[in-house]
Amino acid sequence: MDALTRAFDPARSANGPLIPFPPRVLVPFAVVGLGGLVAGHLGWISLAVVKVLGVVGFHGGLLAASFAAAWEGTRGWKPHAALVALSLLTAATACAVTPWGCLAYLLPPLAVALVTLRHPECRRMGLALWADWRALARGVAIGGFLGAHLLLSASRTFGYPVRLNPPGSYLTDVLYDVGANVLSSECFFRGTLFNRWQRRWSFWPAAVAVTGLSVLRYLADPALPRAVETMAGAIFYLALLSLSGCALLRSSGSLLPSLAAALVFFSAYRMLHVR
Amino acid sequence: MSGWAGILFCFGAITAGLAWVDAGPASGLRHLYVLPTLWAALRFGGLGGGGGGLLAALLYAPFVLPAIERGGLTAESVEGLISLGLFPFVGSVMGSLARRARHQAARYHLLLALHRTLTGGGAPVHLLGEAAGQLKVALEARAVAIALMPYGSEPLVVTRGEREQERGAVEADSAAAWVLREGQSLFVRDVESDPRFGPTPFNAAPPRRLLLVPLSAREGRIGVLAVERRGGFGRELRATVETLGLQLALGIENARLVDRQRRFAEELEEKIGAATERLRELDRTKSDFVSIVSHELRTPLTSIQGFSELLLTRPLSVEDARRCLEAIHREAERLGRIVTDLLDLSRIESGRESALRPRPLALGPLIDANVDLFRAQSDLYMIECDIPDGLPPVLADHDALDRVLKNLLSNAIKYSPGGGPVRIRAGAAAEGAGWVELSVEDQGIGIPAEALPRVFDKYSRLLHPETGHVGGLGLGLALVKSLVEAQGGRVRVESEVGVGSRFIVSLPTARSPGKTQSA
Repeated sequence: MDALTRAFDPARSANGPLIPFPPRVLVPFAVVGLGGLVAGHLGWISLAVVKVLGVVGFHGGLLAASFAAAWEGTRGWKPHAALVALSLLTAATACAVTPWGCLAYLLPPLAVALVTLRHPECRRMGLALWADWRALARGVAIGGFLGAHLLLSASRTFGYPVRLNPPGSYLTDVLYDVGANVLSSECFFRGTLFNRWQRRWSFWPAAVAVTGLSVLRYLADPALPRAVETMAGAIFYLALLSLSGCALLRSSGSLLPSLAAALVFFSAYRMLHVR
Repeated sequence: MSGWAGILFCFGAITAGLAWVDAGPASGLRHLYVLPTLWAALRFGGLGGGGGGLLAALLYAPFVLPAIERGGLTAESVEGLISLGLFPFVGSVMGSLARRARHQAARYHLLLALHRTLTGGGAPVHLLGEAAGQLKVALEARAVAIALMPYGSEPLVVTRGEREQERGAVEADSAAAWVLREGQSLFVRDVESDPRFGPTPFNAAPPRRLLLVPLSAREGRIGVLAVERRGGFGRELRATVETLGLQLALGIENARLVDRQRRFAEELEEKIGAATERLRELDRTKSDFVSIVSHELRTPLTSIQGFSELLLTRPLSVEDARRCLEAIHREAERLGRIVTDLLDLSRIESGRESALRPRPLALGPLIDANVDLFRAQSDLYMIECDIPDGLPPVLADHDALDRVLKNLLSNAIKYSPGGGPVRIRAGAAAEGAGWVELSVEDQGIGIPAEALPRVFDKYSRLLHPETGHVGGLGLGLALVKSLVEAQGGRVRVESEVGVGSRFIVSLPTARSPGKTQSA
């Protein structure tokens, strides 16, 4: 038992840093993202380029911070963060250039899977190539239930139509979730922040804090419609999704069930045509 | 059907029923959701009840929210909205209360079980092992360890972990050792990521919480209780473990007291048994003594009586009268020797012997004088001497050593009925410089191995058909041993039945330092 055998140094602090990665990691990504926004606002670059820079700056920054935290201050995370950022850049550019370019959004998950395969450090954010099928099934069931509930409530209450048309647009949205939106959110909020904070505090404080941050992140997303009922619904469902993700990570020790829940939920959400 | 499957089925069935009847926001059927919510609360506690209530609210929301959107906030829709909030509230509160009651009951059961275990008797390691096992099950812990400070012989560590039983020591720089030193509890939120435990590769599995509680009793800190859990380790549970630590310390102290009392009783019983046996031995010795002494005294007394009566009642010639008087004198001398032996032995054993005056003494002349004396008494025995030149003088009392030699020679002659040679040897002792060995060796009947340990005991006599006529109290060798040891020497015997015996006396030389003490 570790309490009896492992060396213990009472002079050291009981907790690591609250933010488990150096904030300077985010600087280049913030420069890219914000620079793109400013340049777009000033009319120097087109909206498509702004979107590309926004995807790379925002999602690349979250994934880079996750890698930096997983490597715990040691060197070696930067090439992987660069690889993932490059794959995001490629995917966003391809998506902007050609209609089927959205398929390139499969590159970031592949890059992350490659890094996970070769570096056990990724387990610190719950990344593994496989998880218990029961946990995965629970994730799919929770995401499916929340997604179905969203569709049912929104269509019955507000009369929003549910449809897959046009299929190309739906596929683009879903692949964006697969390659950027869900991947970066789950790695950063659940895999990095919640996994550390649940060790520092306990489940509920960590889950509530992470849920608050992740809901804020979606509310700040310029793609979210600004209608009151839409924002209220987003807060409700995203909070439930986030809490479920935390519980899934805690019970399974893997990020995959949480990723599955979020992907299924967003796949359902993308069917909703919010006016 | 039990567990989540049954609960989910109930929720599904109720929702299907509501949809079937096209229920409104204030349908009376909505109250049915309370049943699976309570089921979840009772089965899984506050989190389960809250989750069940939330599920009920989610399932019922599509019946309430569209109505609000269509008709605004009517009395019915407000009723439905209140129900949406009530389901999670009722579920979580009922679940928390149920869980708390269950924990309370489990805690009392655990306390009783611990009390029963620790007062049940048996080896401490088994008692603690059982207690640790009960704690592990009741606290749903990953591992429980009880480490006690050294008591008796060595520290005791009992661990019930993922493996069935682990035993080991408490490292000096470990968290348990720190708690023992400081005497205060330590709560570690995650063993794997806590920097105080050094770098550890952790993953996303639930945190490993660790609580270490010092075990304190009246005699101070006696050990530490360590409980490790995966996942939650709330304040209430920590307080429970602290209470259990107190109970455990008291139980261990009581168990130790009982153990100490039992060992004391066993020792006392053992001592009483030994004392009783010693008394029986003394009683037997006394009976033997009385029997032997009466026999040994009666024989010369009978002779003295017989010869003196003869002198008194019959007119004897001068020659016959002289023989009678010689016989009376011989028997009186024998009586005198017996009484002297008894008195000497008694004096030496009681520590009142102060007549011994060890001083440098040459062995050669003393041995020669005794050999001459015994040769003169009987021509049957051939007594050989082997005394090397330059033998250092020993530190001994002349008279005492003389009596030792006489007893050994007399013994050798008495127990050599065939008249074999008797050899006296002296030389440097095998045990090292500063000692001289003097041995008297015969080729007599020998001593059986089982009798050898008692050969120097008082009144111990070797019964043998060929030496049955030999008289004596059985005090000679006891006297030899007492006299030799009183002079700082040692005596031992080597013997083989039918081959002979060899009595070896080791004495300190006069030059050896630190051997000049008298008896």
